[in-house]
Amino acid sequence: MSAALLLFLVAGLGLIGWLVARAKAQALYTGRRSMHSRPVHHGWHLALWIAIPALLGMSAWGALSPGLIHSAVLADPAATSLSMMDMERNSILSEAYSIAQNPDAPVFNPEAEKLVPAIRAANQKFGAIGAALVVILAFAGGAFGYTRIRADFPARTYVERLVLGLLLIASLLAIFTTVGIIASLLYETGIFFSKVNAFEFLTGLHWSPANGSFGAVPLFWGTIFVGAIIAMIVAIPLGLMSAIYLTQYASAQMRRILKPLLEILAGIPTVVYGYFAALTVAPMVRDFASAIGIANPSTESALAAGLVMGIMIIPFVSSMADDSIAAVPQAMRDGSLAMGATTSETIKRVMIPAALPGIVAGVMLAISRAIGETMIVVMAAGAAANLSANPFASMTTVTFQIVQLLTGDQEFDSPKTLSAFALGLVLFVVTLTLNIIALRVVKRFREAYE
Amino acid sequence: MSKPETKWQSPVMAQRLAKRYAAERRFKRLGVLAILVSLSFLAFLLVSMLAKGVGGLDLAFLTGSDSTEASTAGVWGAAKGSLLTMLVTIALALPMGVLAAIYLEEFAPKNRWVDLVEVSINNLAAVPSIIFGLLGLAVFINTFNLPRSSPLVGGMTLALMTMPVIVIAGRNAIKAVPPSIRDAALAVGASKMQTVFHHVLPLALPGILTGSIIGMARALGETAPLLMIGMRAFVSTPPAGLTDPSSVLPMQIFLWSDEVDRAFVQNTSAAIIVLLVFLLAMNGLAIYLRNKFETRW
Repeated sequence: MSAALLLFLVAGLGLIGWLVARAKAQALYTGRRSMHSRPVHHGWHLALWIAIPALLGMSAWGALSPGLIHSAVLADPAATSLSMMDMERNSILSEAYSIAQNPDAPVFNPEAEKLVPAIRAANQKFGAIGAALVVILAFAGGAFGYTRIRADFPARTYVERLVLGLLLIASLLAIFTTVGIIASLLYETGIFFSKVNAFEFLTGLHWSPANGSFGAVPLFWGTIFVGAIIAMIVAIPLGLMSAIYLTQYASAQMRRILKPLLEILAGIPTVVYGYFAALTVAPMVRDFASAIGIANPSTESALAAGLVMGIMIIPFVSSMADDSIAAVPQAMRDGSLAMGATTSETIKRVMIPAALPGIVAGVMLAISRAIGETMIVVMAAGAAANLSANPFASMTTVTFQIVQLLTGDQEFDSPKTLSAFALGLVLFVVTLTLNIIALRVVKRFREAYE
Repeated sequence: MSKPETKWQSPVMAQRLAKRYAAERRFKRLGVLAILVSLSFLAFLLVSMLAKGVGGLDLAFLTGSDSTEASTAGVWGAAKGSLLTMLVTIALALPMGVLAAIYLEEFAPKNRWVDLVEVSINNLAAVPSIIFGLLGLAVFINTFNLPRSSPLVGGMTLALMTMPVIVIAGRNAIKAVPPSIRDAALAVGASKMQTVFHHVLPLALPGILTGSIIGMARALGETAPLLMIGMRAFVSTPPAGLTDPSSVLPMQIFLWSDEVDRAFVQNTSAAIIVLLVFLLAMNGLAIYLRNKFETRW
């Protein structure tokens, strides 16, 4: 019996249990305050008693049965002729399993075919045992739950306690994810650093993983140059001025139209930006470079990637600046205007200095987003690890290299593949630090004006 | 007694004022310019994609799958991959995100553990997407041996990425429900749990859905984490199930953009149009939901 069918069966039994328990509880009702819980709660209580043991049994059996099937297959007379070599035997076995599951799978080894009937028989036998086990558990749980339906039984308390547990688990998932990220990155990075000196990785000037030299400084520089310098030169003035115009000058109606339009920029997928950067912006940048007399400019340039990335970041900077300007108390603005300052003087001398911490935090968040951005640099920035400040040069970034290292053919313990995780760890730590500092600044800044 | 000359009327003063007003106008114009530059870039991007891609949009393109030949390649295979991936993502991220938001907003005690949960949710929302790809690769593929390139793993990875967004949107929506609703329910004898599930959650639902749709739209356009888990398979037939190798729309755009054959430029732009139409529809739905159901208390 397939797992889906079994799940369906358990759900059906649960539904029946729900209806039965509710009906019985309704029959118990003799008037106001005669029962502790409402019939619906009795229904849920019984349904959970049916479903939870059955599902637990199902997952336990799912973990257990492959081992049982395996030993049953090996005990079969057809398996006695298998070679004793582990490698060969395992390959034949895995082929036989795939044929047993999918009769259309290609057959390479005749020995594998001989095993198929044995595997099918074992699958069937243990599948049936498992299904029976699940059904028995469902009925046992259901019977126990059924005996507990009484007028004074606190079904609601139990059901709600379980739901609360579920809520708690859901909120812990965020911690599990964070821990998972840190643990997996640290683990792989640890293996990498046992093969390559950590100091050399962080300070080396030469990056060429194919030849075993892992100096990541050119990557760090490329990332900073593209994401934190070029992109910010584009995004900060445009984003800040847009925010100022929208909050201080534009009428409410214009703001209602312009702000969502500007936010479309943030909603466009990065792969579209990347394609646009590679197809349209990069040739323009190259033509511009040769026009100002740079010999042999490359098509892939830090400038093309940085420019497009900056445009992508504009709405981000703009909305952060918007928030922090809006948080400046109206009295400060009014005071300045009342002294005879023009609007622009008020903005430059009063609003921006007052909103500065928030704006700086916004820029930090924008930088953390820019340096983690992948598709634009993958499509437009190039693969050469250059340590130069020439914006027309091809330049590579941390994210580009992670993609490069992990999408080719990979063997899982080569330093080449593992170095991607080390780069990922550096990226994670840097963006996390930027975020934590920025969020803290924003929080303190908000408190200052409240 | 002679009145002192009013300095405000003097030519020097008028000149200074004129200068200040000129600066004011310049500043305002700079603001307009910034918005115009940003929006004209957007217009340039959209128009150039439309111009290049609209010719490639025909029925064969919309129903076909990837092919080595530009003229026979289509997006349906990738679109179906996207659809399956999004199904997994929403099935995991929406319930988990909503439950976590309910816990944090309604039940969580004030202590260091809950602070830690909040900090990690806020940070996860800002972690680069490629890091989630590394997590998916290390955990789902290398540790649990789930099938590579499959919508299942892709959807799980994107669910981890989308969940914090949903939690944050959900908390804001729940926070916006006025306490009087809770007090009223509690006053007539509802338990805390009944109050939340029967009264607060339905009122917060439009806000939660709006946030979730926006989060899903972001996940739909995401490429980098899926690149990590190998969802760049060449798929000439649409994936039949959650564990089949498949590709997704943004990945198809990326793969075609890498083709040397110039004929793929049209395909790429056409696929971008398809993707943008999907995103536009999702965001439009979110805005519609917000306008239709938003209650100002």
